[in-house]
Amino acid sequence: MSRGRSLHQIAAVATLVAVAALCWVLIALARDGLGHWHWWLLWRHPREIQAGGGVGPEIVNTMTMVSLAECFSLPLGWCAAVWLSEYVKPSAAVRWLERLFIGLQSIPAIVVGLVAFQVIIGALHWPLSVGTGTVALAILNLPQVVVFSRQAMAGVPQSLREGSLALGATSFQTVWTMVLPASLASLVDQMGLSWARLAGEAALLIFTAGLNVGPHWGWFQPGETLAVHLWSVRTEGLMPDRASLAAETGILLIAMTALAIVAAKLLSNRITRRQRGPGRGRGGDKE
Amino acid sequence: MKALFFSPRTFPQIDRMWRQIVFAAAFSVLALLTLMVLVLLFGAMSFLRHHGVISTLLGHEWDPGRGQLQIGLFVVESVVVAGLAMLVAVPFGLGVAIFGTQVAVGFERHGLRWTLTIASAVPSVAYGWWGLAVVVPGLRGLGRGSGYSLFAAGLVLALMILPTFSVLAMEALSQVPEDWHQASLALGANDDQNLVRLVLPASLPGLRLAFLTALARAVGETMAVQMVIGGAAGRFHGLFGPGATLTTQILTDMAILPNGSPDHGVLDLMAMVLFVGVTAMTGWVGYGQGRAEK
Repeated sequence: MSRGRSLHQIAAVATLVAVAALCWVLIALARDGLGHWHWWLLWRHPREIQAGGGVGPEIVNTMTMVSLAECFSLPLGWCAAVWLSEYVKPSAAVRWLERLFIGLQSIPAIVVGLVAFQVIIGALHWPLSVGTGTVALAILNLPQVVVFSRQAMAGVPQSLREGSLALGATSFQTVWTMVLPASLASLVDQMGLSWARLAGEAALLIFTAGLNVGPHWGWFQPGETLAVHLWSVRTEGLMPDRASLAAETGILLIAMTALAIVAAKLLSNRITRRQRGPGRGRGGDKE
Repeated sequence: MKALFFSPRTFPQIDRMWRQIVFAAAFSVLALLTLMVLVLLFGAMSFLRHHGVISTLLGHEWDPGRGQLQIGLFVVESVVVAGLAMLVAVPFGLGVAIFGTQVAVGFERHGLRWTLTIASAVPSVAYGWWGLAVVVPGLRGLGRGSGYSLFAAGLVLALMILPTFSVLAMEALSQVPEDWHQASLALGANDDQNLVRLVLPASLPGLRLAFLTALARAVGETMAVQMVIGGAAGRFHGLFGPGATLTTQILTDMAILPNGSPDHGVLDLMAMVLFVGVTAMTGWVGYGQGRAEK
């Protein structure tokens, strides 16, 4: 190695340590979970005190609650982002508004959970249920959707907007045929990340969706998700196979979130490539 | 569909409707979030009306059964845990960012980025599980009491925020224009000098964003901390003793002080403290970025 690279060598060692530590989590999970892996885990109902329970309802709850929460929060957040990026005139008040959204983006989940607990359960008298949890997840997701989509739309060059308007398009046509398609790749990317984030959320759901599942899926049935199940099994589970069950749940959860991210990333790369058109080499790898 | 949307006869109406829809969306998002703040504020205010402000915020006594509700210790322990996590995570995260942007190319760089993206989306309960399976028994083996401690919580949080910080720091470092690198190297700087005198100073605003985002995530995390911190309130047991942070204590006491119980407002107060702290931190980032753009 040439002189004057010692800091870079230290950085390489630090990277090695960091990646090893992150892999440690996965390896520990795999070691404890895969040794006892049974496929019936995917469809059986959970059991309170005997071994042999599964996480079938938890998988269904996680999928449906997160997807429904995205269905509520994404359109609303996208529209709000369109307003912020296309319609409002920049002023001090708007800058403060955007700063507020950026701040709200990292609002602790437990705070949203507490408010949902007070308003939806305390004031509206909904039960601890799938529905309550879904609404709470949607609210948690909103600020982040607004900020991310706003950034995606800000990435569209201003000259394209001016071109579109100069050709006689109205502002709606500009947004619909130019701004949204141009930012579609980032929006899809963001969708995967937020899906993964919501699927891993537990603090918010303990006091809104509950710690058990009903006999069948329903809006007002108790709606424990995989993340909550992992927590409750590991900290207060009574079943004899709780150690391996928690690890198996963790593996399922991580597989699910990773799948969501990778699928969204591949889709967004595909969109980018499509939009660049054929015959331009292998596009899609943004740096 | 297309004919309706884009025929010259209908588009003025559609244009107006669209404008109203997006305004309504933005307004309702804002209204929803304002409502949330008002609920917290109302609860916190009604609690503070019956309890002293100073003693509540700075005291350490905690016994909901006897009406002793002082949250000062939780604030301190939140700061200690998050500070410890940052102390561990930032040097490693910077190392990852430097390696990822200045050294690694091709496969290494691509693989690192994918690993970090997936690791940053690994659920916090999974990190908590790791804490229970590895960190707590490890500390117990070292003769540090039961192992459930502020220190364990800090370590677990450090690992949890490491990918978040690294990804954002990598983004910051990669924003430095290639021309500047060339200029710096042409003037005879070696790689380390280039790093210390050009790359790090030039990406300082982005690094600050990364730092505060990671810190906000550490302060606001509930599950990973709750699983390993041991949940002891009322007295400070030291770095290697059990404790409780604002987030974990809200979670624990939502069952003890349910809706409608007289002291429920203290939970609102704790949430308010968290909320104001985190929003102010990240709002400061927005300020810094605004300045950097000018």
